[in-house]
Amino acid sequence: MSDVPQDILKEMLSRLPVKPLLRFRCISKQWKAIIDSPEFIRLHIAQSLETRSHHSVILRHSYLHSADFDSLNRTNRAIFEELNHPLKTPDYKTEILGSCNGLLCLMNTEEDIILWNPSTRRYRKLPLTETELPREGIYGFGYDCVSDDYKVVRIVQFYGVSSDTFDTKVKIYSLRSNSWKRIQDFPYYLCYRRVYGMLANGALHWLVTRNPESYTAFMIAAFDLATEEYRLVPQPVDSDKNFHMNVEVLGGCLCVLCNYYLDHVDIWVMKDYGVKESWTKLISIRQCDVSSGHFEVVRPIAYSKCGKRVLLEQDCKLLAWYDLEKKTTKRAMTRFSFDPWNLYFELDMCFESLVQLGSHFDLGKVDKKGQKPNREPKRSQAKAKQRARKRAT
Amino acid sequence: MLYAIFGVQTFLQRDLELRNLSLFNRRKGFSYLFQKSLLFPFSISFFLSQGFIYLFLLSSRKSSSPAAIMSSSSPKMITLQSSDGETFEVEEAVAMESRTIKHMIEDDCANSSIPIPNVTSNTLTKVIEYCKKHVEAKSDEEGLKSFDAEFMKIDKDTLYDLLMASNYLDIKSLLDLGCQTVADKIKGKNPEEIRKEFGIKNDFTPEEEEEIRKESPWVFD
Repeated sequence: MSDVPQDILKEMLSRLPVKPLLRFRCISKQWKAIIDSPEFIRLHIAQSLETRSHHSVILRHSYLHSADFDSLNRTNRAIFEELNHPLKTPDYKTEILGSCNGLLCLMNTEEDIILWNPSTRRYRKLPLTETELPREGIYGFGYDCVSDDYKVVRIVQFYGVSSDTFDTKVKIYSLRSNSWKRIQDFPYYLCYRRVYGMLANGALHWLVTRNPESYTAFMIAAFDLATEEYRLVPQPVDSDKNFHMNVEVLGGCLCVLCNYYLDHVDIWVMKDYGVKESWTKLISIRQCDVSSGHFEVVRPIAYSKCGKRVLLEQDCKLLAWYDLEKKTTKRAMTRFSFDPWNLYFELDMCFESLVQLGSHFDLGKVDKKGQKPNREPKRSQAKAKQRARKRAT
Repeated sequence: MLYAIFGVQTFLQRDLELRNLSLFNRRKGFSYLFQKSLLFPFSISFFLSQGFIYLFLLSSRKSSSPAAIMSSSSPKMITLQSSDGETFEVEEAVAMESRTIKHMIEDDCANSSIPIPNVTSNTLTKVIEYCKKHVEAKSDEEGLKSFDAEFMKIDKDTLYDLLMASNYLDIKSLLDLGCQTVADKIKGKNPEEIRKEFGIKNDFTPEEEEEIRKESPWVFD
């Protein structure tokens, strides 16, 4: 059937996972051109997001692990296997700064950050940038759909002259230019050091206060990746000391978690971005609803494929499905390739995509502009040399 | 309108009577008798014709409101004609599963039979079978799933014909189903098998192909 029209061929190919697509690149010049084209890559991403297929759950314990979301959805069983990524080393616990369009932004140290596509196994190391003070940055990673670019944001904040003021310095990295640049300062005070920006509607979101001293008046600030400007997003409820608020993302929509500690947890979803009236209380879980009887914290991870259930992470050690119609929770069975004692993990979602990371897909070559080479721990240096040797042959 | 005819008729009658009277006044005799004898059957025929007109109008008024009567008894049927001339009668709701046909009906181009030039009668039969089931059993998700699975147990040529037809007729669910079936079939194949399946000629040189294979060697195991 050599006369299959191109648009039907693209429809068929957009439903395949990445491994066969990479294999089919050598079939003919036409097929290679289709698979490598930016519109097909976008079509493939849109198809994966719409049908929630080829998704995986990424778990961060000491190392990174992943489990197939399809089988978790179908059989209620998640088997986590270790993920071999370029930054894997026993010396650091790799952090996930963000997950977007099939790319993961991984960090070992401030000088060792990469963008990695687990399906194509390509990665791009971010160039070094001047760190103003020995202060940890707060990061966010996302996609700018206007300029078709992937960006990493780094915000550093420190107390000002008086304890009620603060200074910030914000830098942004763009994949297209492969460089960092300084942008306007973040006008709000970020409450938590280790919480990364939540990507929804082309903007990164953090929980903020006006200044370091006001502990209860939490607000949601957004950084628009396209315009590189800041704004506040209307909240479903004004914060007060009865509950603890968190910003999350569920199904691409901004989400707010209100934890009435040891009583119940409310999860609100903003169905229409920017419209205050569209905040809907999706889930309200009381202590007695949960099968294990008691929980401290609950995080929404993803909708099921049919959209009638929500995957929750409970107390950083359990996975459970919440049925939106029956309003019940059901624990998911999990199996790990590591010893699960003292389990404390964080979860992210990722899916397969063909997003390309530019030509520098070899080992993290030192940037030719003379940036300092990063000091890799000894063991991973040996592994890096091994990889270099393999690629040369 | 009836009353108008009635009115005209009575006017004419009266006119005739008046004329008759004048004639009667002017001339007596044969001509008077003649006219009088004519008047009687003339008026009778007038009444009769008026009656027939009335009946005719009544029946036409009845037939000019078909929707009220026909919708309660039978749904509107659309005629489709395949490329090899065969015609198929389907309910409007079933035909509207195809966005292409839906637009044609809405733009009022579907008064007589709709020609479907790219689709043969075999394929059109299958398409209609699919659309019928999806209209009838709309709420039964489980039933539709098993129907779709059975429906896709067809040979390669029929599958591709179905894909082309659903693309032309713009039936999204059938196109999705067909594309997913083909994707599942070709997922595990190697490039040589795909070339055979699709009848594609390899226009890479062996060196070029080797280069591409080297870029991601792990996918070929």
